[in-house]
Amino acid sequence: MTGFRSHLGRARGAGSSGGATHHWVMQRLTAVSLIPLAVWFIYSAVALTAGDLTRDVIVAWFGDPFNAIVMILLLTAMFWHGSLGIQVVIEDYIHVKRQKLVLLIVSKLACFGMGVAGIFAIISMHIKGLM
Amino acid sequence: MTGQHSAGTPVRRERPLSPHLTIYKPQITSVLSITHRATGVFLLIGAFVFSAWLLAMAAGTPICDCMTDFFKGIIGKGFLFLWSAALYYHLFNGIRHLFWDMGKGFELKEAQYSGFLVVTLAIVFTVFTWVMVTGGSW
Repeated sequence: MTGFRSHLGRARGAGSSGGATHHWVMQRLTAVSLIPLAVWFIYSAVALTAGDLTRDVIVAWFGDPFNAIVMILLLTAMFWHGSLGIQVVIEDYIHVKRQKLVLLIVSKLACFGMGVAGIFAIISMHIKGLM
Repeated sequence: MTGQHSAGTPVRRERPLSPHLTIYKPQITSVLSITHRATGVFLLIGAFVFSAWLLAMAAGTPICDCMTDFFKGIIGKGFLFLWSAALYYHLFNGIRHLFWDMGKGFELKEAQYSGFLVVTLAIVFTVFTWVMVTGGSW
C-alpha cells in the first residue's frame, strides 16, 4: 500500500530494504575515491620496481606516514567497493536463496577480514620502518 | 514455471520467457559491460592476494620469500600483468559509468565511441606501465 505516503516520505522511507540508495551512493563514493588512489598506487608500484624490491625496501617505504595512511585509505575504499560489487554479482547470478545468503555473508566477512588484516600489516610495517 | 492451486497441489504453467542471452549478437556495449564485472571480480581476488602479500611482508616469514619469488617468476608476472590491465580497464570504464550516472553519453554512438576509447586507453596505459617497469632493474 502506497496511498497514505507522500512521494518524499516514500523516498526517505527507503523501501523494503530500508537502505534505498545507500548501496548506490557508497558504490559511487568509493569509486570516485579510488580514482586518485589507484593512480597513486600504480605510480608507487612502478616507482618501487626501479630499485631492488626486497622486504626491507617495502618496510622502509611504509615507514613514511604518507605512504602508510594513503595505502590504508586505498585498502578501505578498495575492499568496501569490492564488497558492494561482489554483492551485486551474487544477487544477480545465484538464485538459490540459501546459497545466496551464505555467499553474501562469506563475501562480506572475507572483504572485511582481509581489509582489516591488510591495514594491520601496514601499521605493523610502519612501526618497523620507523625503527 | 510452477504455481500452486489454493489447495496446495503444484501445477505447471507455461509462461512466456524473454529471449535468453545467447540469442543476442555480441555488441561492444554489452561485451564491455560484462567485462567490467569480470575485471571487478578479478580485481577483488587481486585485492585479497595484495592483503596476503602485505601480511607476508609484515611477518617476514618464509611465505614472504615464496611470494616474492612467485611474482618475480613468469606466472606471477603474468598475473600482475593481467591485474594491471584489469585495473586500467575497470578504472577507465568506471569513469565512463560515472559519466552515465551524470546523464551524459547515453546516445548509442557516444556509448560505442566511449567504449572504444576505454579499451584503447586501457591497452596504451598497460603497455606504457610495463615498459616503465621493465625499464628498471626488476
